[in-house]
Amino acid sequence: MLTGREVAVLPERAGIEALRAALARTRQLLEIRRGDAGSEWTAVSPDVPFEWARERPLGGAKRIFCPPEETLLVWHDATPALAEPEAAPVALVGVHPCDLAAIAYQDRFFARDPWYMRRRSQAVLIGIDCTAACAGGFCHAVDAGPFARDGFDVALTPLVDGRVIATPGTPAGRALLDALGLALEPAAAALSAAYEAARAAAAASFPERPFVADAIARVDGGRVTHGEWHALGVSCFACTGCTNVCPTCSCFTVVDEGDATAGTRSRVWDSCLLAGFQREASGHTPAPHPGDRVRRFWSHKLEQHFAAACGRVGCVGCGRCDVTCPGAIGALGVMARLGSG
Amino acid sequence: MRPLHHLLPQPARVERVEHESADTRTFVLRLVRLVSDLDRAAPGQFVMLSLLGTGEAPFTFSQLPATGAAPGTVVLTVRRMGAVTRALFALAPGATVGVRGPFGRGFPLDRMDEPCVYVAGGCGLTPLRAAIDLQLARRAPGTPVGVLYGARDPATRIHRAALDAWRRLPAVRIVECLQEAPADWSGARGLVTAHVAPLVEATGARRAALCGPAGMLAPAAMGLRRAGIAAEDIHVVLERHMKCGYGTCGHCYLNHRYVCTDGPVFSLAELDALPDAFDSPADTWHQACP
Repeated sequence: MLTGREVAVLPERAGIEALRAALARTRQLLEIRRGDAGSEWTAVSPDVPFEWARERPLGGAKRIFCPPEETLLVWHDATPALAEPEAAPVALVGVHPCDLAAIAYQDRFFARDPWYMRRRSQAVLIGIDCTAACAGGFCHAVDAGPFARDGFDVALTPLVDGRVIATPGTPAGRALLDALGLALEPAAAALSAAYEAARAAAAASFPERPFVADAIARVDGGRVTHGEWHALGVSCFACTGCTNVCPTCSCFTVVDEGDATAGTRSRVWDSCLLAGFQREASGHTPAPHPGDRVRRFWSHKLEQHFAAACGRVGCVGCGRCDVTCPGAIGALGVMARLGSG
Repeated sequence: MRPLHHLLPQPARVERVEHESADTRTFVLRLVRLVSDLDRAAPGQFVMLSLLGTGEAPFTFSQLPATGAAPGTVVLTVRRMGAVTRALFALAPGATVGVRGPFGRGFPLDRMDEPCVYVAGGCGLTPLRAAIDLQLARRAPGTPVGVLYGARDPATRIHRAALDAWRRLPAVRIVECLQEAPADWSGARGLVTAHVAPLVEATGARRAALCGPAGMLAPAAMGLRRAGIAAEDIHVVLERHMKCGYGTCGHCYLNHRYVCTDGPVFSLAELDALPDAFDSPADTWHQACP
């Protein structure tokens, strides 16, 4: 898919170090590093070399732009003012294509939200295409990978011969490559062929899971019975793990602290799997059964209805919900039970 | 970005509090600074009422500048139910609250010359009160208007002065209905659903508006449809928990729509495609409705 696009070529993987150094002159570098709690986005120095072997971090990049708690209002003397988040310039280097798709989804969802956009406008995204399937990932089945299509400032594609294709996706990405003195040229036929070969090899590395497409079609078509949803609901512990790790989930509740004179109002991640999520002051709730709530969650992730507003379906195939769900009803768990094949 | 008055509560002072029933009052709030969008709000739209340190909750307008309320005021009829309403009821005139909005899609404002019935249960009369007042102000003389209002018992009736005023107007038919009626009650008895068809017939209504508790909506909507009103012309006000009012917090999801931005007023034809609108499973009530 490089045909017609202008790209630069890093002769070897070490070429990313010049890119990191250039970014680090004006921004904090954030990269995926493995720590005691597993892989996560970490502030790093450009002096420490880049780690190409990156696991998809369970926490994801969501919390950088849509943090678990965001202060909306601050008041003293009973007069509220909008809170402005302190957002320093950052560069996320090594974003996986599934997360680029998720960030693009949230960019559209939060396009008119001043708090999200303030944080997001401070970030440069350097994506790296995945050359092989990760455990539990099914991005190819939901059109979110393994190669990035858009949502990046620069996408890097590692080739087997050690070269790296750098594709700008925004004017900022193009300026970054220009500043490094990299020649941007229309991709030659041989380079396009090498890119396509890498993409085909990555796509071929996913296990066969024919039930995925079937299950998505059933959910999108409203062809899953109430009985099936209620059977899945039995396995929901309402732990909210799935909504916390899902890179496109963003529902929040609002919490006041302080009193009428001085205090703050914040939005805090909420979860549609909680029984009280839609409960009204009267006690009435439109989704009283766990199966109702599991259905609502998966409908939101898999129905094409939502694509009109956010550019794609809500699920990006990252597989994080399967890792965290104690009831084995993450995405693949649900699809294996709903789909055939 | 969103307009500031959608994000930042605009200060308003409690100007007057009117007693409606034991747990319901009408609050007349005067904005400290004019918000022209609020003066132009339509029946069925709503605001987020903000009490700093306590929280926010959505409330619809019971009166509007378009229906005779003073410009620069926000008039809300509120039932004491949760934390925000408890704190609101404790405020004295002169106290300051915050208002964000207006939000949502209200009632259609055309076709004011066509006969219409308004069906309300409990505090569901509140959004309909503004819609009724607007039609009565704008209708061609003699256009029939019917109001069917159900309450639990005499003490829970609200908007009594408005009901009495409407009763005195020509071509207005009011049916009040109590679930627990005393022996000397001269109005109707039982559930509102039993009185829908006769009122539609008596007024020749071709349109309807409906608001009430969740359990009432589906049977009342079905009654209106059976009485011959087209689904596109039955307008239902839905209630949902809300935190933001502008389609971001996710609490009011109704299938793939938001009650806060796509509603809270929906036509029954729209709700036919939104199976979570009513509490009874959609397949059941669709089968029961010819």
